Amino acid sequence: MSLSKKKISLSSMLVLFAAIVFTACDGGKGDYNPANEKVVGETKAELTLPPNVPAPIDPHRAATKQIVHVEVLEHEGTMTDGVTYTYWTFGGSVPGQFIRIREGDEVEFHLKNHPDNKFAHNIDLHAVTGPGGGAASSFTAPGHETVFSFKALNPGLFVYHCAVAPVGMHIANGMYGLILVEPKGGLPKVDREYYIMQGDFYTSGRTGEAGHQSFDMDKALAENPDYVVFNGSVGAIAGDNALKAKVGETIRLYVGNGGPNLISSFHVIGEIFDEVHVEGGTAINKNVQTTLIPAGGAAIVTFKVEVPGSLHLVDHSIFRAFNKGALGSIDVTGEENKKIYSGLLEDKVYMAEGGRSLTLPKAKGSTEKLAGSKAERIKMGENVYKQLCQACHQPDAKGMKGVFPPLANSDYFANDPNKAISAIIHGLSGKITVNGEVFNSAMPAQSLSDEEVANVVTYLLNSFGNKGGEVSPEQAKKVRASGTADKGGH
Amino acid sequence: MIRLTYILISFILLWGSSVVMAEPPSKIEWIAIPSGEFYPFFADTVKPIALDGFFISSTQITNAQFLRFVKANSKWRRSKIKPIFAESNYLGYWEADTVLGEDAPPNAPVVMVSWFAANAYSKWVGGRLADMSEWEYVASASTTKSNAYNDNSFSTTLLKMYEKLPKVPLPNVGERFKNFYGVYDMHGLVWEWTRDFNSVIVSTDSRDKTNQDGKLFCAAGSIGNVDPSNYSAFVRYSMWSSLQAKFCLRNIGFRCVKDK
Repeated sequence: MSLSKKKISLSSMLVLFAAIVFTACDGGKGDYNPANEKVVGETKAELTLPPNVPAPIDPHRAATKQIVHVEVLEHEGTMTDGVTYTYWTFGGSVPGQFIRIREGDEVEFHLKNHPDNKFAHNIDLHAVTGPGGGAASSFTAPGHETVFSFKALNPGLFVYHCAVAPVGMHIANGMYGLILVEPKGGLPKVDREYYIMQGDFYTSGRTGEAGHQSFDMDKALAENPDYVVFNGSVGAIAGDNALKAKVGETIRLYVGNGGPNLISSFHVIGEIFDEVHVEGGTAINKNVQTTLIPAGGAAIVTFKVEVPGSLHLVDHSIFRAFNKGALGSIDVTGEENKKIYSGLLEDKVYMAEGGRSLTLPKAKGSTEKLAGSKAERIKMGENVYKQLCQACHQPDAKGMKGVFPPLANSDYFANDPNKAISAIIHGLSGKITVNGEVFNSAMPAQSLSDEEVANVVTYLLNSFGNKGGEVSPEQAKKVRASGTADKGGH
Repeated sequence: MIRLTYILISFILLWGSSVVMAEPPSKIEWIAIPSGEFYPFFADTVKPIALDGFFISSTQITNAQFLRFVKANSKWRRSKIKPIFAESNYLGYWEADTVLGEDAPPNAPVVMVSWFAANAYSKWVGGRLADMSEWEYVASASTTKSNAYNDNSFSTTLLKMYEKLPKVPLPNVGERFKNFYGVYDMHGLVWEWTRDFNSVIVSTDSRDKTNQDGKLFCAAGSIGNVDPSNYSAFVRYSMWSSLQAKFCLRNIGFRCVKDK
């Protein structure tokens, strides 16, 4: 090394010198050290609730002092229809408010713990270089506000979360979110950006059990969640809340995983990620089907949507998607392009599960709530329908042509509700004719109690243009005892 | 360090100004707690702490009880209290200095009361605040057993009580959760000050085990405490360690003890 140095000619020394001067003046990437970048002025950072993301940072904006205010709120929210849960949140939502800054920015962070809260909280931002990621400086009693500041040294997408003991409980109740540190010069422009975060929840009752549910420490220790969801609740980004896009647009998703326990196999059914910032960092992988997102980690994925339809976002640990809630969607509108695609995605996914019954054992000691009246039966049945049936039979019960038979105005069980009961309890496969249309498919047996079967069938009989009636749990019990799956019209 | 300074200064001030008043008609019902052994949750060893018997108030101190105290001791009124002894929201649910008002029913626990004020009240009634070990000793009783901390179901019940969102005005004391000793509301109403509330340091970043202060931490292993599954205790100790003696929180009140 020293030998070769001596042999460097004068001219090459000059070139080298010129190059150094040039890069220094230019502030070129090679020499750039965010720690040394001067901070100019200050602004109050714009934060957004999920699934929204603050506007991209002007690539020419100087490093600035960003004032961030986040308020911790403990409040009751809806986990799924008929099920409530006490969430602990950064800014009122799960995940918490999205923070967007650039490397070189200085952040003055204000953590406010609402006076009505019962617990002390703090914040650990994985974007912070320093003890506890800020947790050591932000331990905040209810009715107090703490302030600390940090310089953003590393670009990337980072998780933040509460780190007060018991940490697992604070995270399990929803205390996590994402902070994006844009690289200097920004990220490439895209048409749409969304914010999604997966989390697992542990409730005293089993999945779907109605009423207010408490946090269950035993299930959390056993890492056996009742709900695995995107953005804090079942359906938070599905149905009416689905994300929107147009054919031809490029979409960027900022995807985090709060945990506390599970690792996400994040996948979008019917899309291939053109680019993935692996683990939210700088490395870019291309043409990815499923990207792994660790608990307490994140990824940035981008893809162009080419055809209209519903794209389903899932944790491809697939029981979580279809049975525990980890399902979202992007509704893409625009012109069909038959050259690229024509057909139904849902068919395939459904068949992968066909013919099997998932038995969900009742939680020990839990007692089932029984309907006290027909009206209550219908109401409880509606919850079952929304949690279980509408994924295939659709929210309007009109089914899907050729795949899922309609339950609306259905002549299949109009004169014999037992046929509906049997299909639910025993499953149904083979050819059937509903409202003049032939279906040749399979429905798996559902693990519902007699009470739940009675509720959902009663709901069906009294909804979607069907002609009324009531089914009792005893009737469901009889059908259950009477035998095995119907084989359609055979 | 700041905390220590506060306590030192306040001791000096208290020393100079404290006047022992006559026993007030406070109608505190004292429950006798027998002597016994207590296994501290945060201990590095599993040696029990021996506790002498003591008396404890059957309920948390109510607004009505505290009102008598501030009527008799004007320097503890909202308008008179020195800022070093209480934050600006001291007795914030009260309508005025000596008027309770709608948000502070007479039989609800007094809250937004600083450690200093709670300590002064306790002395005024001839008692003191409970040590944390004493408090935990009484709080470890379920409705049927003197020590139920080893029951997983008890810990679960406590967590459920803790996560319940508070309602304003707060409910009355003495109506729920009467434990083995006949003491009410040790859990589920509001948190309580103890005499040495900040003597056990939950590291501000609670996962830090290397810190010398860090007798207690949480995260993966929880090897620093006796029973890792006792998450309800983590919750209480986290809360205590986030406090300073002048803090006045909507969800912290207190009760008194008296030596036998």
